[in-house]
Formats: sequence, C-alpha cells, structure tokens
Amino acid sequence: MSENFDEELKNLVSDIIEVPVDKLLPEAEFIEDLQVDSLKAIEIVAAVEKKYRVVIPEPDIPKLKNLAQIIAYVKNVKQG
Amino acid sequence: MRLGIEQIRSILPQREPFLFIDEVIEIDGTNKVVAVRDIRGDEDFFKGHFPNRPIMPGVLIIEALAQTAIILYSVCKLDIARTNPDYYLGRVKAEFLSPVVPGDRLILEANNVKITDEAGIADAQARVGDRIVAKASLVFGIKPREISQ
Repeated sequence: MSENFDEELKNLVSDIIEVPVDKLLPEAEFIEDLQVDSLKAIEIVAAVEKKYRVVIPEPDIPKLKNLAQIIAYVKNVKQG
Repeated sequence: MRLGIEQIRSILPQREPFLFIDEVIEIDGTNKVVAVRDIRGDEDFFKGHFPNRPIMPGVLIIEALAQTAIILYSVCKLDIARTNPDYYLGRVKAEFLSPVVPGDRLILEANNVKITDEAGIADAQARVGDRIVAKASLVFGIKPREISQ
C-alpha cells in the first residue's frame, strides 16, 4: 500500500462524485452531505475494487458511509 | 444457455420498434451475456438515418448493449427482475469504431463489472463478426416500478 494511499483514494472518490478534493472531508457522509446517489455509489465501489484489487461484497456497501470508512475498509482488507 | 424472443420479452420492458435483441446466445454465469440482433434493413430508423445510405445510429447500438446489460442484471438479480422494475441508464462512456449497416449480425456482449440491487456497471462491446463496432461502459440504475394512476 502506497504512502499516500489516503490522498490517492480521496482523489479517486473526488473525481467520481465531482466534489473538489479540498471539500471532500473524510467524515462527510456520501448520501446526506455530498448527495451521492446509488449510481455514483456503485462507481466508487467499482473503482476502488479495480484500483486496489479488492472485492467489496454488496452487504458491506451500505456500511461505507464516508471516505474515512472506505479508507479504513480497504486498509483492513489489504492488511488483514 | 440461450434465450428466445419470448423469454427476452419477459425480462425487457422495451417493445418493438424499440426492442433491439433478437436472441441471447450465451450466458456465462453472472459474468457475461451475449445477445444478437440481425440488422434487417427495414427498421424505421433507416428511413431517416440516412436516406439512401442506411447506417444504424450509434445511440441505438448503445441501447442494444444496454438491453443486453438488463438481461445480465436479470441473471444476477432474478428475484428483483421478476418484479419488472424500471431500468434507467445513468452514465455512458462510448466509442464507435465502425458503421453498422443492413445485413450485419450485431453481436452484443455485456460483462459484469459490478451489480447490486439498485445499480449496475457493465463493460459492453458490439461486434460484427470479429470486428468491434462499438465499446461502452454503462452505469445503470434499477427502481421499483411506480404504479401509474
């Protein structure tokens, strides 16, 4: 996992949801704060799966409510 | 596994003249669906696109690929597909490589990138023989059908 993993993942999500990096706070909730719909959500999941070669099972997707939780999830899968 | 037109009609909400799949010729588990459409030349859109020079509109190739993706979704999410939900395209990234003309057999392939209850992403390509005529990344959504008044 690269040293700038957190920033890298933030940039990836920022591109998909079209929210500037400086406005994408780790704790901002995708649905309530950032107006992410189900299509953007699946794009985030697919992009993360592809980039980090992980599989995010469907039951886990609703648990990933913000950027911080995605970062923690991928780290856990890759290091666990 | 193959599906004939009646089975396709039981899955897809589209109807002629906006049904762009004749037959499903391959279902590879939940990974991939391959369908075909024979371009006859008597389709309505050829009257205007273009007079005396019939070329299948690229947007309709995308529609055919999107319909193939719905079949793929129905394979993955049979219980939801049986409720006849509404399917809608959300985002398309497409590339058109070669014209499709009457007499062509369009081979439509949709590959599962990610499919959940509410949404799906499919990487799709259309071929005529071995020639790729279009490629597309399709992001689509699924919603329970609203009952019309």
